[in-house]
Formats: sequence, C-alpha cells, structure tokens
Amino acid sequence: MKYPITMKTVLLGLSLLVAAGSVPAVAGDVYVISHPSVTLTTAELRDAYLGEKQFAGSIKLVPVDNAAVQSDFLAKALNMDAGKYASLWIKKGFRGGLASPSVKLGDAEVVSFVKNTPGAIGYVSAPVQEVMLLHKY
Amino acid sequence: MRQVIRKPYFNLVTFLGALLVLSQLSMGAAWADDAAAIADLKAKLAAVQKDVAQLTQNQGKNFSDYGIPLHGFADVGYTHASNNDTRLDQAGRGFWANSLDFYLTPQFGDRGKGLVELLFEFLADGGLATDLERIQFGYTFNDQLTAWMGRFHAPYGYWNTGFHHGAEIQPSILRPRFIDFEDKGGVLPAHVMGAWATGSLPIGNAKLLYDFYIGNGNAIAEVDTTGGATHTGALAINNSRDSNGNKMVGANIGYKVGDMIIGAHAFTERVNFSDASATPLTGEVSVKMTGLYAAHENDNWENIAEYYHFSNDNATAGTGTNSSWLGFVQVGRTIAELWTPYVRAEKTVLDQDDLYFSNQQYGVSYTRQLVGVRYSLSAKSALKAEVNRTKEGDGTPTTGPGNGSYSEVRMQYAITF
Repeated sequence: MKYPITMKTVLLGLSLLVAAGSVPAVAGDVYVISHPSVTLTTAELRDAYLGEKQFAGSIKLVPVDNAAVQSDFLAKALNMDAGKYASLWIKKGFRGGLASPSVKLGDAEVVSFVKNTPGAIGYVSAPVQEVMLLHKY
Repeated sequence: MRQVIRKPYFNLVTFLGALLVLSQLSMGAAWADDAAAIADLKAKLAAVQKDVAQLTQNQGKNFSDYGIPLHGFADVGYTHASNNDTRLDQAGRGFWANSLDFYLTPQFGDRGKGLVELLFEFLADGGLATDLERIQFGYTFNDQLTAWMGRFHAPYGYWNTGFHHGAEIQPSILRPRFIDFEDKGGVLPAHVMGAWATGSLPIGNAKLLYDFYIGNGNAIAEVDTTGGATHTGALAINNSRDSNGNKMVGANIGYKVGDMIIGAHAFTERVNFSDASATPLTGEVSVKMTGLYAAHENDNWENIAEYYHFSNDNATAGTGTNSSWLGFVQVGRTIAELWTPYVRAEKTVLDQDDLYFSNQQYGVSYTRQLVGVRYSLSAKSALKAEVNRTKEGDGTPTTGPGNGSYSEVRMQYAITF
C-alpha cells in the first residue's frame, strides 16, 4: 500500500526534524563543563566543589559557581542547599585558607571563564560546544 | 483644411509622467534618508557588538588578583554569673562585645596561599586589644601536602583548629575552658609560631589526615612567686623569639571516614618561666602531651570528645614525673535545621606539684557541666543561650582561682561575614 506524500505530511516531518535537532534542556538539567585541561570523575568533581581536591595532576583546579543554576547544581551534585554550601566554605576558608569558588552571573559568563582558564570547572543550564562536558545532572 | 487639435499642455500622460518624476525624486530623497539611517544603525550595532564582546571577554577573566574578600566573625552577648568576681573566664554580670575577628585568604598564584587574621577584643578592664592571631603563608605542593610558616592555630584535637575565634561556627558560646585562649584561662598553647606540614592521604573511601609542626617553645610569663604564691602566670607564645632555644614539636594524625574523625595528637617542649619584667626565673619543665580525640559532624549531629594527658618532668629540680589529664565530651543535635541543643562535660585533674600547671593562673583542676541551645537565624548568624556550672578544686570558696564554684547564664549573638 502506498502512502501519499501530502504537503501536510511534509510539514509535519519537517517540524519533527527541527524539533529533534534542537531539543531544549529539560528544566533543571545541569551540565558540568571544564577547560580541556581537566578531566574529573563525578566523585572528584564533588571533592573539587567541597574544597577537598585542589589539583588534577599538576593543574590547579578553579571551580566557579553559576548564580543562575546554583541551587539545582548544589541539590543534584552536592546534595546540599545554598546555606550549607556557604557555611562549608566559611569553615574551609577559616580553617585552611582556601578561597571559595567565585560566582559568575550566568551561562555565558561561566562558559567564557571556563574556555579561557586552564583548570576551570563550571556548570551551565544548557549544553555548549566550546568546552568539555564533564557530567550532566 | 485640416483641423489642428491642440493637445492640452498638461494632458493625463504628461501629468502622470510628471508625477512619476516627482515621486522618483521624492523616493530618491527618502532612499538617501534610509541609507543614512541604516549606516547609523550599523554603526550603533557595531558599537553594541563591541561592548558585548568586551563584557563577555572581561567576564571570563579571573579577577582574583584584583582584590581579596574580607571575611570575619563577631559576637556580642550578655552574662549573668552567680558571683560578680573578676575571674578571667567569666564576664560577671552584664553585656559584652567579645571580639571582632577579620581574616583574609590571599592566594599567590596556583600554589601559594596565605591566611592573615586580625583580632580586636575588649579586655576585662574595658581596654581594646589588638592581636595578630594568625599570619601564615603556605605552599601547596599537591592535594597531599601543604607547608605553612608563620603563626598558626596549634593543630591538636578538633576544636582548636575547627572553631578558634569563629564564634558563629562554634557550636557553643564558651570554648572548653582548658583549651581557651592563653590569656583567657587556657592551659594549652592555642597558637604556634613556627612551621607546619599538613595534608591528607586517601585510603579507599577514607582519608588519613596529618599535621606535623615545629615552633618556638612556650614560656610562662609574669610568674610571681612572692610569698610562695602560685597560679600567677600565663602561657606566652614567644612570637618574636624562642626564649629558651628549645623547640616545640608536635604531631596530629586523624582517620576520617564519612562524617567521623578519630585521631591522636602529641607535642613536646621545654617550658621556662619569667617574671613580670620578663626576667628569666629558675626552673624549666619538660612537657609531654599525648591524647586522643574524635569528632562526628553532619547535618544532624555535632559531637566532639577530646582527651589530653600530660607527663611532665621538672627538668631543673629532677623531682620526677607529674601526670595530669584533661578532657571534655560535647554532644549536639540539630532539629529542623534551626535548633541545636547541646550538652558538654569538662574535667581536668592537674597535678599541683607540676610547675607547668602551678605557675599558670588557671592551672587548677576543675569540672564544668554546660547545657545550651543554638538557633540559626541564617546561614551567617546565630543566637545561643547556655548555662554552665563550674567547680574549681574542692569547691571551697577562696579569693582567686583555685577553689570555689559558680554558675553562669550566657546569651550570644554571633555573626560571620
């Protein structure tokens, strides 16, 4: 049996193709990205944001926070809220002289920083091509 | 005769042609205007693109070298004691501002780091004291080793390095009395001027934490033995030089698994004495401290126990070894992420034939029971209220430290920034 190819079918197919090519990030998805010089496991990534890991080989890790998606990242990657995260870094700084991750305003700033800073790790709300994707939460 | 029909001068075709010419002229003018507008828009768009590019480029830069965040702690409160005397470790009756503590954590490149802490606090007489609490500069070789030099918090137990002047992160208002600061009743050195190697080594899912340090040995200053008096001096850190040339050497080894740390600590040094005019006094004590500690900290619990055993020799008189011990246990439970009720018991048994203790103003045996509650106002502020009962010696009232008992009710508002 032959199925007639109508204009309606063509338009529907095109719509599906376009939709498939640009699947929007599900609300709350967090993409952890890094400078190409950095490769970390999820456990190491967690340690880096908790101040327990400062180096990847000889490269100094430079984690940065993204104010726009911080709460999602903290909940999914570190299992804590912003208050506990702030308390933890107060203790880390006071006890060990560690500087807390700097806070960037949004995805564009994080991507730009990570792209240009060896050792940098960040997280964004949508996948990006310019940097390395470490993990998706 | 042919009739000549004159066409009107402005016939329809001529009129339309004229109109077309006029409209073309008009459109030409409009096109000229549009071209100018487009050129203007292009120039503006180029300027915006340049601004955006610069903003994005600058946002991606690391500005850590352009300034250092200033952090700190401060606390104020009120105390009502059962007696209104002038014992150092209690504020009598009234309001107080305890301290304003600033600290900086400058980073010098990828591996160099610093920790500078400046403290302002009111003395018992109301005067304002300034103390360079910590000034230490370090180099991180890797995740397993950081080396520091300068003045740092003495790395024994959990409490001293965990909270120190951080009133807001400290679970209670008072520190355990015997590890309070040297000028506030503590009988252990809370600081070291020297060098310190610290780090952690992974062991499966656990970590081995270590600290090794060497520093100027302590002295006990302002000792006044007139008339056979005891308990008149206080520990001195020897910030600018080592008064007897003997170094303090210590180690702290901890095993951390999950939320739990258990560890052992030790230090040794020879402590000498001086009077109020810094004149050296006869006598020197060889101090050897060994002990154990454990801490369990997570979202719901904050439990800490520390034990210290001293085995000291009167190095000058050769009168043998004096043994003393000190310890505390504190248990805290957080409820609904806001309320943390806690209890603590402290006890010291100090040999009064040991010059290390008998020459310190607060080198007396005591017991203290303490109960309190902490309420988290925010991630950076807390209200605390606590009651304690302290008994020195056998509890018989005397003037000054040594014997007697008292109770206190304390309230504190502590913040960090």
